[in-house]
Amino acid sequence: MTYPTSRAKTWWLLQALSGLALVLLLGVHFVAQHYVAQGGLRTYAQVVAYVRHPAVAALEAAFLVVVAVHAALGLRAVALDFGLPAARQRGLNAALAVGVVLVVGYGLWLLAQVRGGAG
Amino acid sequence: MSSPSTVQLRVFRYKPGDPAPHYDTFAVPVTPRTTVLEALQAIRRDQDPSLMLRHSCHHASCGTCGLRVDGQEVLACVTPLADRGPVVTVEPLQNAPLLGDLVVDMGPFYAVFTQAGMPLVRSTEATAASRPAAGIERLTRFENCLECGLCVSTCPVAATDPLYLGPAAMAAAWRVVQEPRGQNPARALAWVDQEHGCWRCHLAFECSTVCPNDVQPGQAIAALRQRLALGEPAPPGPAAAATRPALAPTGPARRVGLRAWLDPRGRDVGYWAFVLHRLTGLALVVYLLLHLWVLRLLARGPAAWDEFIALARSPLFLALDGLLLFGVLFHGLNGVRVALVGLGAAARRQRGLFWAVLLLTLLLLAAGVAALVAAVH
Amino acid sequence: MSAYHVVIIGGGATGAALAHDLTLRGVQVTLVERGEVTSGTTGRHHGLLHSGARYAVKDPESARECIQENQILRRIAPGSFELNDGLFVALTDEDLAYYDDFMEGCANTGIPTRTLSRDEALRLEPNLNPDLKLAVQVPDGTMDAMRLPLRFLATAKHNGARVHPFHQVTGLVFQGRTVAGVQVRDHRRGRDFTIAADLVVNAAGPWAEHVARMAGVDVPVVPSPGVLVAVRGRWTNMVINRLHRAGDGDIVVPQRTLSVIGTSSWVVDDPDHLDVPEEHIRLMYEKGAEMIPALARAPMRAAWAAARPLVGSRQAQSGRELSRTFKVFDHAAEGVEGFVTIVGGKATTARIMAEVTADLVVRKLGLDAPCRTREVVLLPHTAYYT
Ligand SMILES: Cc1cc2nc3c(=O)[nH]c(=O)nc-3n(C[C@H](O)[C@H](O)[C@H](O)COP(=O)(O)OP(=O)(O)OC[C@H]3O[C@@H](n4cnc5c(N)ncnc54)[C@H](O)[C@@H]3O)c2cc1C
Ligand code: SF4
Ligand code: FES
Repeated sequence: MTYPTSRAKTWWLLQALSGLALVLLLGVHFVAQHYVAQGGLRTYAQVVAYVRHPAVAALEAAFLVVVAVHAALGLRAVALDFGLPAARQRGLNAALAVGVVLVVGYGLWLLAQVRGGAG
Repeated sequence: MSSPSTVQLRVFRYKPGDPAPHYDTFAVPVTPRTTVLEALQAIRRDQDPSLMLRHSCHHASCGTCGLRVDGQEVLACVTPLADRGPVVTVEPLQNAPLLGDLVVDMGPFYAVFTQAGMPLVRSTEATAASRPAAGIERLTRFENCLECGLCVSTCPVAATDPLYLGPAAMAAAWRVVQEPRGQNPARALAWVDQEHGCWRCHLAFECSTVCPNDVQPGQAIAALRQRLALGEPAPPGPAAAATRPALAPTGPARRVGLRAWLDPRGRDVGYWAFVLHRLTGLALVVYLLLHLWVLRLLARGPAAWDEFIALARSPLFLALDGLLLFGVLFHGLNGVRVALVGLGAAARRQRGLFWAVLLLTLLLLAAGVAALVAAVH
Repeated sequence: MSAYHVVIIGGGATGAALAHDLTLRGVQVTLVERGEVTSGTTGRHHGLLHSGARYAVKDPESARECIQENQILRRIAPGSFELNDGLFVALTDEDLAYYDDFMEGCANTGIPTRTLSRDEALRLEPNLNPDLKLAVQVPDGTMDAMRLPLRFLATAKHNGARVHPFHQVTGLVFQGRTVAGVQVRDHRRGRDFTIAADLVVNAAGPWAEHVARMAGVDVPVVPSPGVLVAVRGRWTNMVINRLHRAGDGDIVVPQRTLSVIGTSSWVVDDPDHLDVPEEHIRLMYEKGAEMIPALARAPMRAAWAAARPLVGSRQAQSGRELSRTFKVFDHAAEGVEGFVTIVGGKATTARIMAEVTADLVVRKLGLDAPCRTREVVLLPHTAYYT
């Protein structure tokens, strides 16, 4: 019999790992915007051209997913810090999951719109 | 010894039935050696016999005289009163039910503390016949814990989460893991491995700062997490739940709540790191939503976007950008610190790491702001 | 539980042990303490579970009580003591000359001893003065001054006793010449009320005389303070005593990460006015360093004073000439019924003090209930709070 991995631990590790991933993604994001996209992204055309690059789109999408998850876990941590009772944890988890899905869905839709937009 | 000077002691007063606590000020003569405890005893003896306080050993051994002096948790019996200025404020510990004046009910503290399963029967530190087991002096022996509750009073998580196991009890659990003395370490690990256990800690390290006997509960919690996350999988222990034995309420709970985030008195850097991390985190969530809302303009086509870009070049917007950059940088870099320290790596260097995080944040912020300004002009 | 109700005044080691004893005998007990429990002399003592060896030559009665209680306490309160033993170290030829008397005294009072050569002693305790001549190992030990009495109180509470801290006795209730209860002031709620009792026991330690005066009787208790100095560092694991006639600063007790040097002895009138004379602090450092040289440089953590409740004559000069044994007073002898005083002794002998007092109490109440405190294992101190 193995020791069951506690949810609490999983959440904390996920929070830490998503955080580390964000630090890396953000670093790449900055470098990409400042060195790869010469002069920064200013005009609409520049932005559209930029996100049309498949690697960039993938990066932005990953960024979005990780940010949403990290934010949700952070909000969850704050709620627990304020003594959210065990009985309400499920409800909170569900609400946050819905939030993550909405944010990610909306963001991906936007990305698709912009990529398909006039260039 | 110099002749005694006089200090005004502002003392927290409360008796059951009072609508609210108030402060009474007493003038007390002090010598360089006078402790806060001696001054309070003198007040009770000469000025107000109804003043309630706890004390027993008078030498930082029993742990009963914990108080907040000018907002900082201390043992009154080893805290000199001189050199603190003309007015000194004395209050009871927080996050514990208040019985009256400076006396809190330690019942809830012990109700959790005993769950850690620390052996109350210790065979011995050393008998004359047998020297301590090799290497034992390396361990911070848990008996060092005075059960004073200073750590729980200062902990910003205990301030808001009534189910939190708290630093002292988790330091006790870590003692069981390190030095089981016939107890079951797996049980102790399972007990802290819960939402309101070691994973709730945000590494403010106030507990380690105020601890009068160098128990280092913050580092103990980090070590527990390291063991749980990276160590050998522990054998199954009994299911742990964040429960509190039902104790009849004895007085107002005095859980400080959100105010704990905003009371700077006597706080150390780990605490500031925690508060800043929280505030920047919450702000970034708001920013995330705003950001998506703004990007919606991109989907509307070039005109809307150009309008926005013009707005984005306004000085106010640039200032907000700077603020955002600070938040991102601090949250990200301190997040790395929290992840490292929280898994037991460099837990003893958390202070130095905080300064490194702050320095790096400011350097990158300066570079970022310079780049922003250059880009606009 | 019998219909009899006894009120105990004083929540120190003595009152705590008595509450436990009487509760086990089926008496309803209420203990009142003016401050927090163990806030009198008890919490402040040296933390030494005496083997009795210190008193073996001059005060064999105390010594015998100590060694017997030492053995009983280890049985009924496991975990409240370090099993670290003690050493009596001889440093001078004068100390050596005392050795024979010391060994004879220990043999006569039943205190086990083991004589160690200089080298053996230094192997056990490398921080001892290397000039020592020899050392004698005895079953002293470190005790937790507060948590042992808390265990008596915890057990008493769980068996039905009522414990009221922050309740000060301000007077006694009389029916004729019989004490029928106490007047108390509850400092928490700010109210005065009376508690009726079939018998009242005065266990107020150095304040016992003050309480006895409320009954119009006199007990010859002399508050005799001593200064103790706690320094940082655990310089020895064993309790270190000087092998000589008991004097100042000749015991060092390791407590957790501290070493406590004590003590001195003088006499005062009011146990609420204890100062810590600077020269006593210096004396503790000086005397302590004779046995353990490193103490001279150890940073001080605290210096404090506590008052022994010694039984003796008011003419006492320093208190050292008074016996460390205890005395129970049945004030019926002075014409006051229903009132008993217990004073003197040591924290180490609190249980036997309680036993003798409770024997008298149940006899006076007309009960036939034997003492059970030699066998009953005490609850942990944490049970006092939960
Ligand atoms: C310096 C020093 C070192 C010592 N070292 C040791 C040692 O190492 N080992 C050892 O075994 N013994 C030692 N002793 C002896 C031991 O401390 C005492 O014998 C013992 O603690 C006495 O306990 P007690 O309960 O009789 O008195 P106390 O502990 O003084 O209890 C009396 C209580 O009565 C209360 N009281 C007083 N008036 C009232 C009132 N009106 N109403 C209600 N409550 C009241 C007081 O607040 C106090 O708490 C030492 C003593 C001293 C002074
Ligand atoms: S860990 Fe330190 S601060 Fe907390 S109760 Fe123990 S001694 Fe006090
Ligand atoms: S009175 Fe014991 S720690 Fe201060």
